[in-house]
Amino acid sequence: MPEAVGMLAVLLVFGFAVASTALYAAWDLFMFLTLWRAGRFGGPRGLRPAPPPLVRESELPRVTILLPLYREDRTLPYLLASVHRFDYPKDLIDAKLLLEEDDQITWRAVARLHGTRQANVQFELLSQGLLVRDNEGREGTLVVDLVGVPLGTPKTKPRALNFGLKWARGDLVTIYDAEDRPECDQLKKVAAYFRVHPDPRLACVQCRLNYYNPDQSLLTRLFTIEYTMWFDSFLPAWERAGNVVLLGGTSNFFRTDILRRVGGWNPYNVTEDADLGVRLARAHYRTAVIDSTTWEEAVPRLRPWIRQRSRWLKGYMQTARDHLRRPVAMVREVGPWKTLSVAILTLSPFLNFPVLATWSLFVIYWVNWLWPGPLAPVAETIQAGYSHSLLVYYASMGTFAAGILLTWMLSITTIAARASRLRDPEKAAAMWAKMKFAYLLPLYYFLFFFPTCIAAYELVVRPNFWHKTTHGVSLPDTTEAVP
Amino acid sequence: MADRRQDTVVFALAQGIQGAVLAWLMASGYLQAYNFVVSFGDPISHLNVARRVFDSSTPGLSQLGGIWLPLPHLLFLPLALDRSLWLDGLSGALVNALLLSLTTVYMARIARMLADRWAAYLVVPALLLNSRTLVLSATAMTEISYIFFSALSAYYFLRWAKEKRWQDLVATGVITFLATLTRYEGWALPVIYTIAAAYILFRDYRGHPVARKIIEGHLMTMAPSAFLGPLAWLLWNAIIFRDPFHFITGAAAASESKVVGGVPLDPGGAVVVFANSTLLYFGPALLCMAMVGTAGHWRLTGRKDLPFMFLLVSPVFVTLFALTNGQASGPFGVVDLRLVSYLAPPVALGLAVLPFLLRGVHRRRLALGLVLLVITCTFTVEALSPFHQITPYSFNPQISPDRYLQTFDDTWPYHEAGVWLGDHYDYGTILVGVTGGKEIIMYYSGLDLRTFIDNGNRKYFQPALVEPRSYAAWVIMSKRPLTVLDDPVARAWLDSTTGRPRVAFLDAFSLRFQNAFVAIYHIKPEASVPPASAPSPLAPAPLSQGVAAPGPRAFPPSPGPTTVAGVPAAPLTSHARGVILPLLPSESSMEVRP
Repeated sequence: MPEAVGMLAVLLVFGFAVASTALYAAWDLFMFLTLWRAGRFGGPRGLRPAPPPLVRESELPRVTILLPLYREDRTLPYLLASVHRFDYPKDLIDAKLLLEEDDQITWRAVARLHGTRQANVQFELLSQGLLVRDNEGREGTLVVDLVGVPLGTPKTKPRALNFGLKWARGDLVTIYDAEDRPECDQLKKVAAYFRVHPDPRLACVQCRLNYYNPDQSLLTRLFTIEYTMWFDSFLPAWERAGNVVLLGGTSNFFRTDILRRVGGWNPYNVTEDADLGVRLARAHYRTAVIDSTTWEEAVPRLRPWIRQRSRWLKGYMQTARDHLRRPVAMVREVGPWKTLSVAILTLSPFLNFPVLATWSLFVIYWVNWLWPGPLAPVAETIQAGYSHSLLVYYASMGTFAAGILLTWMLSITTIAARASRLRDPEKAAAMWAKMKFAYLLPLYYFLFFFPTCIAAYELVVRPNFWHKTTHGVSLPDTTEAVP
Repeated sequence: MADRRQDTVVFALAQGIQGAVLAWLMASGYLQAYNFVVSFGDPISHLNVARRVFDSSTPGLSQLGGIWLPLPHLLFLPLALDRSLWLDGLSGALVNALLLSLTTVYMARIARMLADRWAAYLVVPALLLNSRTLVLSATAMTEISYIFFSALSAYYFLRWAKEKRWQDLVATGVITFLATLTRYEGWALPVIYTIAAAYILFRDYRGHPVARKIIEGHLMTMAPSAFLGPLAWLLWNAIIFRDPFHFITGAAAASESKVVGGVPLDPGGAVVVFANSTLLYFGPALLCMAMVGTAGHWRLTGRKDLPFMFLLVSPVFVTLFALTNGQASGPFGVVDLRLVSYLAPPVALGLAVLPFLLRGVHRRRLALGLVLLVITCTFTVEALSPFHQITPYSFNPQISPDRYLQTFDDTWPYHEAGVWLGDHYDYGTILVGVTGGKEIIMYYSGLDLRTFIDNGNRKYFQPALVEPRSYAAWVIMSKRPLTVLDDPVARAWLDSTTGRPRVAFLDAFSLRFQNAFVAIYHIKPEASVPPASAPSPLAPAPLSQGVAAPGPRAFPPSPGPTTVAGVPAAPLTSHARGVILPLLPSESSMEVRP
């Protein structure tokens, strides 16, 4: 019996090694080909430059800004101040605060705003909505509609967004989360981009996201580097290579008519943004990623980070489940390359299991080799497992090393590129200071094992459960866009 | 646009010259294949290390390493897959010729960046007309790999110093990483680049309120990649040998090399050896001109540009350390031209910038004159010292016979033994301790390397040293007094307490060949029945399709796999493949003397 268990363990090691190596090698290869195809390996040059906002005011479109909030009393005034600070005619901004009817916390926070001055603006609650004006009154008055989202299930952000979409009056629709701090000229840049690219297939413009509290903890530093890599280097190259863009949660600007035509957001997907990106592609629309940033808040502690990440991973799994269940149909609709791109990204959470497990085997083996001890039986099983095939052994080693080296390279080049582009020496120095943390990124990826487990569990047990991320933990003192 | 056109001209010129030189190198390499390219130990060892990765009784990447850094062997490996390219040495020579050609391209770009297009034109012949550099590129040595990666890293670093593009800093780090995995001289580069980058950044951002963060960020962009090579090498040694400093303390390192003649020098002696080698490599005239060119360039550019010599000659410290530590070869008075080969690019640059310094002179004529001068000086140096002598030798005629190939004379008995073994090999595995010149025996036998059980196959080598008859049909042993102590097989033969030979060790074998350096034993037919526990007793060597492959010398056809004393011979590969993890630390790496 023990021999059978031992044999099973050896085969399990070997199976893990084969599966992870094949999957990870395929993933690496596809990523490399994508970056190669885009010709933008290792830099933000793939970002579509936002045209200078030179559009005349009479040509500016009306923009609906949806602000879905749930239990967000701390961040509310800062968010509204950020929207007010947009360099955009206030009468062309159709801002809507989407509040769940039973969300007493946020409703009360709205009521408390009446007559107050916070975050350099003053608030006035009237029957037509919430009025936001700057203290000097020079920049005009922003009217924010208060929309109560009726009770219903699933109680998710996309459901609230769909409700808000019904009342949208703008030519473009965008979303900001409670903790968002968009750059002031973002609306004008997007409007200009749509104007100089009158492509009827252009449905969405995605702005970059980044974090304004990178130095709060080691986790936020690593999280910021990861996010910078994603939005500065990877996503632009991904889009340029003709792949399907899985949208970020906020700061994506849709043409309202197209958004309504594709049916809005999927309320049953906890990453409705990713799902919508795929649905736009399946309807033969395209998304552009432009050079304008919205600053968000990175969760500074491990437990909320795991919860947030598990929701994202679960959402990707749901997206894979919804769109890849009929792969032939998808290939017919968008072609094999785009289907593969969706599969590669949405199935990547599943990769974490075998890949991290296999990498852990190496760590165990070498720790035992250098310091023999209680891990010896496990190390022997690992060696026996790998002895079935040298090819698998070297391939596992190769993918392990290549994964670390590619992560380092991509993060280093991203940080250096971003720091070099910043004209303000203070901001550039802050970015350069992040460089040393890039080398810890492989360790950060090992953390993915925990949210992946939770995501897989919840995908089965409670697929629509939405892990609420607490915002406002590290509110900045100002509503200025923070680099 | 004009710059781009000029660069194109430089590039085209460099390519043209390289094409011609490449052809020459190939012809030269091929013609000399039998009497020079693979005539001495080091190139043969490099070729064997590359070949062992797939042709060994314990194949795998663990065959890389030990004393020598692995990147040159990895570069030789693809061509070493081919038996003929391995055996005539071209698997190394072709790679080196290509790398030397690429080096000239980047040297031309460096010269263009530091001076003008005439410097770019001139640096190509200044580099390529040095016969010692060409000879190194026509053999399977590792110096050319280092010269290439150091020149490449210097190009990107200098470009970063000039244009401050972050991409160049990343490239410097990555290429320095590769340079540190070619030769130990490269380990100076991460240090020198980090210091130089810190100096440049400090100069640029002095007094800036956020200078510290910016300098730190830039250094962190480059330095970790650059230092990763040495760190990875320490880790590799720790994993394979359980000793991160095995390349210093291991079998063929300084401590052991003292036994066979590697003598630590006092600092003065090290400087003399270094100076002698440098003078002989370049000749005094070219060396002086290069120094004048370098100093003049630095003065002319207002000392704002980083002195390129500073970057490229930085391994001097490593060389001097190696000489004083006994890691490099030779007693006092001996020169080793390979030790200073990395000075070839800075010397070529120093020569190339000379016309740039003399403003108002017709530069085309001056450049042509310099080319002629370089040729003349090179041939003058040739007359003083034949270019074959890139290996250590002495000026003293009392020590060195008055012949060109003194090294070849030193290794000739090994050649002879190798050829004899190839001629007389019949069946079975061969036990050999890879020290001294025994790589030459293996190579010149023309047998597949999986025929041998050696230091790199620890799984079989250690038990074979206890009971050779169970594992091998042949035993090769050193006879030369100094090398006996270095040979693990000879040491196993000697009783550790009495120091006298153990009769039982070789009682099953009979002496079949011997010369001044080695003895070769073959198992007696009646003694060839193996114990049941032996993993691969007397297995026939899997020669290529049962026929001895052509070696550097012609060999008669092998009788092919046979049986011994009625015991069916199992193929060696039945246990050699698929059960060993070459990279897992169950196997040792080849330990050979650099």
